[in-house]
Amino acid sequence: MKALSFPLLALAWIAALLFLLAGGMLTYEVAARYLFVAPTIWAAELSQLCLIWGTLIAMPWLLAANRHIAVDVLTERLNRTGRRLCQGLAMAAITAFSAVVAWKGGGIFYDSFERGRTTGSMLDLPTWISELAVPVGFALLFLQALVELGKVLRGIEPGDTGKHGGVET
Amino acid sequence: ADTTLRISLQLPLTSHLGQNLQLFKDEVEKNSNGDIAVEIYDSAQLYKDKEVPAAVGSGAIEMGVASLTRYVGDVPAVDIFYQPFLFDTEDKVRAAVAPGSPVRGPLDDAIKETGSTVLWWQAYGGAIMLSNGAPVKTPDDMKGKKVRVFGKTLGDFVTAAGGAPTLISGSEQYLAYQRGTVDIGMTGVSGVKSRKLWDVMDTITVTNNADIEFIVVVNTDFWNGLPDAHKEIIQAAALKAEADVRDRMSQIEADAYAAAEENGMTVYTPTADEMAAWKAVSQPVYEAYIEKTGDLGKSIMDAAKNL
Amino acid sequence: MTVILILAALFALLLIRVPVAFALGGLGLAMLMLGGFSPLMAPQAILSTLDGFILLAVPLFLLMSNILLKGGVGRDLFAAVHAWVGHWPGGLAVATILSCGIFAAISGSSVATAATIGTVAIPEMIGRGYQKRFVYGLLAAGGTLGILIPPSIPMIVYAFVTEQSVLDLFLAGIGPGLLLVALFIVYSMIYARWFGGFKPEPAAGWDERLLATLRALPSMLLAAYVIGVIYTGAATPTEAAALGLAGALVITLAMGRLTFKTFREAIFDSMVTTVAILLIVAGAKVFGKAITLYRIPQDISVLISQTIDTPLAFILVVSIVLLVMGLVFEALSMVLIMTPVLLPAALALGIDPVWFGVYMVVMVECALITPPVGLNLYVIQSVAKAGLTEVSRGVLPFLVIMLLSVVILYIWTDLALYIPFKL
Ligand code: NA
Ligand code: NA
Repeated sequence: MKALSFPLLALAWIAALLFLLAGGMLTYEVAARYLFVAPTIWAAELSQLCLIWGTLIAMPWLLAANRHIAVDVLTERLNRTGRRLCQGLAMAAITAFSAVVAWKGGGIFYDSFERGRTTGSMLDLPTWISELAVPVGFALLFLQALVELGKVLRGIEPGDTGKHGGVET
Repeated sequence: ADTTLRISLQLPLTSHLGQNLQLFKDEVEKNSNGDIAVEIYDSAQLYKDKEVPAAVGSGAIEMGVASLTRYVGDVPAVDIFYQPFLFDTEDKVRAAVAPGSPVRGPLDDAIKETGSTVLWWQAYGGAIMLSNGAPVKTPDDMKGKKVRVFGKTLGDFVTAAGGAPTLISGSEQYLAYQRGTVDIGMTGVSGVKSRKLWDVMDTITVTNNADIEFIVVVNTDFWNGLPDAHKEIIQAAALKAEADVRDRMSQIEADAYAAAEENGMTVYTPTADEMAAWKAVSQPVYEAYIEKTGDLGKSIMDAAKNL
Repeated sequence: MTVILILAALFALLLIRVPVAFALGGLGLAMLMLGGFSPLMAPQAILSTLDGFILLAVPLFLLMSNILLKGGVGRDLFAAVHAWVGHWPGGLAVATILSCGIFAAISGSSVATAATIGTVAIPEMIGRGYQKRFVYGLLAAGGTLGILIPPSIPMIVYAFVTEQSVLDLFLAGIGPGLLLVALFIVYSMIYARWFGGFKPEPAAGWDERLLATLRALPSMLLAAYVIGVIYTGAATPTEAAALGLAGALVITLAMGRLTFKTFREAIFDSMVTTVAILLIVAGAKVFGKAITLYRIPQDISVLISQTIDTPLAFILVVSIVLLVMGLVFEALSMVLIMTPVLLPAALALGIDPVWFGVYMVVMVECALITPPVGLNLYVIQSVAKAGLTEVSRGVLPFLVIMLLSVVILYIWTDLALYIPFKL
């Protein structure tokens, strides 16, 4: 079970770097447009790919670290057994959701890959490059949700490891 | 109703494409005595234009409207309509888009292989250029300028003419012109009117360098599963809708030009010599098209040139 | 009936602590499958959300403000403003609000604003004898300016779901943002005059003012530059956010305020927040498709138009609904769930979509400071090590002021619309 946590953290770091890279590409784009009157054809599309892949590959780490935004009103008032029950149900719900999305998303990827479908935009990249991120991200999320489910069965609480959730809006 | 047709549309219901769908809906619901219900999901409530080919092809939704060029990722040959100046008169356009014509027929067949059956084509008019101060008479006026485009083939054309193409969505156009993100605009003339582009650009050059078409598609498996009686009703309504919007298009464009002039725009039509200069620089675009699309593209290109 | 079942299911999922993103997405997917619609819509909606260029601005604005934050911009800002207005009646409170307003121009998040200024201002104010309850309320409410004064992540999200221009929304937030700053300041000064009892401060010397201002100046200029770039259209909001990020790196490096460690923290924190937010947007998109196919927004819109025929009645009803929802809903999901339901009806009543976006943001600000679920309350609670009850009580007068600003915004729509459309 531990074996999964290092790769997940590594993916989360890759995501952080991808977002930074997107910022770099767009800064270059503005410079290219104004300084050299030569707008790039790649900056917008590649930075978008950074966002798609970054978000989806970091998603399982956020689950493992309990960093997704969630509502604590009820669970924080429950006793340990109640919390375990809720956590078990929640992870089961995520398992089911991620399984369907990974499976159906995989179908979308496979179809585009088989057909050799491209985006038709200036770079004209194959569409599967972005579509693949969905089955990859959600398959990993599925696995992590199973791991969390295992923890519930063994009696480990979500708050016992990892930081408390909470995020800015 | 026994059958429900859900249609995804990017534009609002008030647009001429939306009105055309409404006509189809009324016709189908009337003639089927309510056995077929048509639900229009306009303004991209369900899908953006670029997502429609995959959504309809996979059966996620029964029907959708997409600009023809959205199929370029599956069927590169569809960009025959974006080949510079190939369809520069209404007669040529009408001949090319007639059902079963040597230009349209093979495209409809190729699109069918993506899981979507074409029901009808919706006219959107020709592409024109927008500028400030002076018209874009020849490729020389485009040299070193940033030009808004809405597809790769149009971008290739701009590059061939010496400009720098920038992909800008329809909704971002106004700002891009206002703030000078690009120097030259490219759009259908009806867009000039609906988006009030005369606030930010003062000259139209009637290049008709591309013909903009939308297609209404239905998922093929769903279509094959319909009873024949329903298919007939739908096909009849589709033909009626297709003829209606095609006939209205020249009036819509004429109104848009009139509105543009009323709002202070200059409308410039290039001379024969100037057109020849445009066509001369476009040769590499035609060649790239044939190279990319192979035999299918070549036969369509030959058919188009013979119109 | 269907609507009640759907809401009950959503509440159940949220209450057993399914993350908001997966509760919305999962319920949407279940509805699609139960309603006989294609489940392919779920992955398609998720991909379509993340493929939005507008949303790319979210990580970039977060990176910009997090990097400045690690470079100590909160302390600098507060010190500079404090040096100028600290000796006024209620000067420390005024300085706190002004700092919140200025930091709001750097940050797109109200939690970040409350946390940044709160960390500096709370100990200082309590040390000077301000009542705790007032201090907590002031910071929880002042923090909400973060999403009204541009840049603003909820505005980016609203623009994304309604296809409005981010620029228009940003500009429309400036007027109401300044109004709230003014109202908070007036209240603070009145409060200080009648309920004072704290030690007045000596005016700072000119050297001190100058030095403090110089320290805060680079980040203030950067914020002005970013909004200027967006306003002149030299770049899209997303590109401007990228320029802001580059500028933040240059400033913090040049001032020697950024270490490799704090830089790493900044980019990792930004990533976590980005992923959490964008997944909620994606989940809400799946849910939104499902309710659209169930024709719920359409039906509600028809229902509203049959029973409510004036914009005033509409806004009254919607305000009450949003206030109640805001008690328990997370702010962003409130925008995402309610906008598709309410906007068609609002448009039919002739309400401007940009105005409606600003109004939604002010209502979301109220949700952020009402218990039991209010992120800003939690932030102040943890920064000040105080009880939730005490913080919640302190917020009450500020909540009244914010509702007053909604009334003003309703009566005088140009407060929002003048800058984007008439200037
Ligand atoms: Na802000
Ligand atoms: Na609340």
